[in-house]
Amino acid sequence: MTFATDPDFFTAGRAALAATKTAFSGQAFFVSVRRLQPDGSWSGPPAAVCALVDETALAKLGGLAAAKQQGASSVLCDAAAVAQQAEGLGMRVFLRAPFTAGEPDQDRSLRLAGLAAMFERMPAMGGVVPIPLGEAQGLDTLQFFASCRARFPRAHVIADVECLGTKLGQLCLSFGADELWGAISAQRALRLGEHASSHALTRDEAALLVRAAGFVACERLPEGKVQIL
Amino acid sequence: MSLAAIASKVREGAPLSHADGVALFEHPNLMEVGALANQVRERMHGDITSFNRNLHINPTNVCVASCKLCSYSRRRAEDDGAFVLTVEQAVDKLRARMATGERLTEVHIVGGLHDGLPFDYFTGLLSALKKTAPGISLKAFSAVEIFFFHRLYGMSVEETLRRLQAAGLDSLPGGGAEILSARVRKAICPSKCGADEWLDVHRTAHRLGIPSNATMLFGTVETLAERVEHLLLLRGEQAETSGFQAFIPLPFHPENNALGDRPAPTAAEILRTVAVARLMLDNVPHIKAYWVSVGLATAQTALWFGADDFDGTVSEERIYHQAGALTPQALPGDEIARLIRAAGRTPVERDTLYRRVAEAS
Repeated sequence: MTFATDPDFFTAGRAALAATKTAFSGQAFFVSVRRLQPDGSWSGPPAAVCALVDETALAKLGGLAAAKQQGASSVLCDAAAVAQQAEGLGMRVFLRAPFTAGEPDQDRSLRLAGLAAMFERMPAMGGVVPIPLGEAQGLDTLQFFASCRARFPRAHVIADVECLGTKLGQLCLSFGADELWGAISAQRALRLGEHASSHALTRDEAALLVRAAGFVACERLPEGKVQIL
Repeated sequence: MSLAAIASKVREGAPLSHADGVALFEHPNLMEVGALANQVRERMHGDITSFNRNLHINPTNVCVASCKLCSYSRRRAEDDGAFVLTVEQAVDKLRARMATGERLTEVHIVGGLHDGLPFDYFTGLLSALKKTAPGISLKAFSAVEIFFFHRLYGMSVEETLRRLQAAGLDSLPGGGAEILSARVRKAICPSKCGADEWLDVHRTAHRLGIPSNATMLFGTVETLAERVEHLLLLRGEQAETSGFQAFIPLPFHPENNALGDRPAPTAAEILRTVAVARLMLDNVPHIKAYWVSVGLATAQTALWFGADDFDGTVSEERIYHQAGALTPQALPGDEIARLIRAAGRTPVERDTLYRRVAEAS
């Protein structure tokens, strides 16, 4: 679906929002994430609930087992072999759903169909994370999130504010996302100097983003617990 | 008031009331409010989204006002980071931009309230820029600055505007409106001109044939009712003068100023405010998604929530970037056209008066 063929993007948005609210009873989630970098360093709050490694970093890190040894507890991937290995290692798996602004609709549909098949084979998967390759365009990103919600009606569809920015990340909550990932902590540095382009959020700011999008804000805590705020 | 009842009024072209505006702000479904605003936007402009090629010049950041919302100003000329451009420096900025071969149509000039500069500095600035590029439109000095000149130099508002007009002023930007409420202005910008005075400057300008824009800085201490009141004041003024070309909703940026403990308006709130503005201001032709302030992705999305203008190429914006804006300081015209197309709209390059300059390449 593109704007050229479907100028009323509200149709997709309305359907995605309704499906999300139905699937999660009007709740949306946020979770603090830290990320293992290809050089072995970590970014994000040390006390983050989710310690994530992206499969694109695995080669430099020496593989999944090495990443786990360095503290990663979750992996973001779209390769079935990586997902299976991660499950075998007891790691949480999130499905990476890449997209590129302006790519043909047919390519997207085929990719999402393949990812959906993989998702069905792995019922323990934690959710689907749309990841823009290159620049995230406003409308295109929202449309892709709506497509993900249509394709994964019961899954957590996650907007990663580190990739999308705070504003676009929040808007995704109106187009099919039900969860925000970010560098979320009790306090953050002012966005000045080296922090000028940081997308770090405080817990209060994350909760505000969720509430302002019309959801009940829920924070994911360690050991799978959830706190309704 | 239900959304269906409001939608019915919108379809009939009936002006919305204060209660309607508050109901739109409070409606639980942003998507429905946006879709309604989009109907009006498309009725007025189809899928056209305009932008221009402009240059921002901030002549000085020295300002006596000390507004709590500001991250840009310095109180005194000798303070660290304070600056005053010479007329030559300002002209050099224009020349440098023209040397790129770009089809520049506007210079946008706003600055601090500097009480140590002669009036000749400002008329000299305008006339020098006009002499350098006679075909370029000079959109200069917010109503707050005009009112400050009137007080400082002992001239009436009309005389101040006439002299600036004679020096080359073509139109006024819409800044300094913040929220047109005595309570809010006392809280966030007590030394700026009042709401009545801001409106009076624009009314006088319109009478002199000087068109202008109007802004609303939202997300500080105002209530939703005060936002709606602001919109109604502008609509009332427009009914008398028809001089406002565009309305520009500006979300508050909290970094580096005295209101920094407040959260910035979220993207959802920005889109809702754009949408409500489109619905309330039925007699103002254009609603801007000012990408510098709202961010690129939100600006693209706003083109479906009531906005029909993307502002301009800008270059050298300082005021919002001092307050933590994460956007680039300039965008080439081709890049703006690409972003508009990527948002499913048709880009059209315009001049200051919203006359079509060219189909965007």
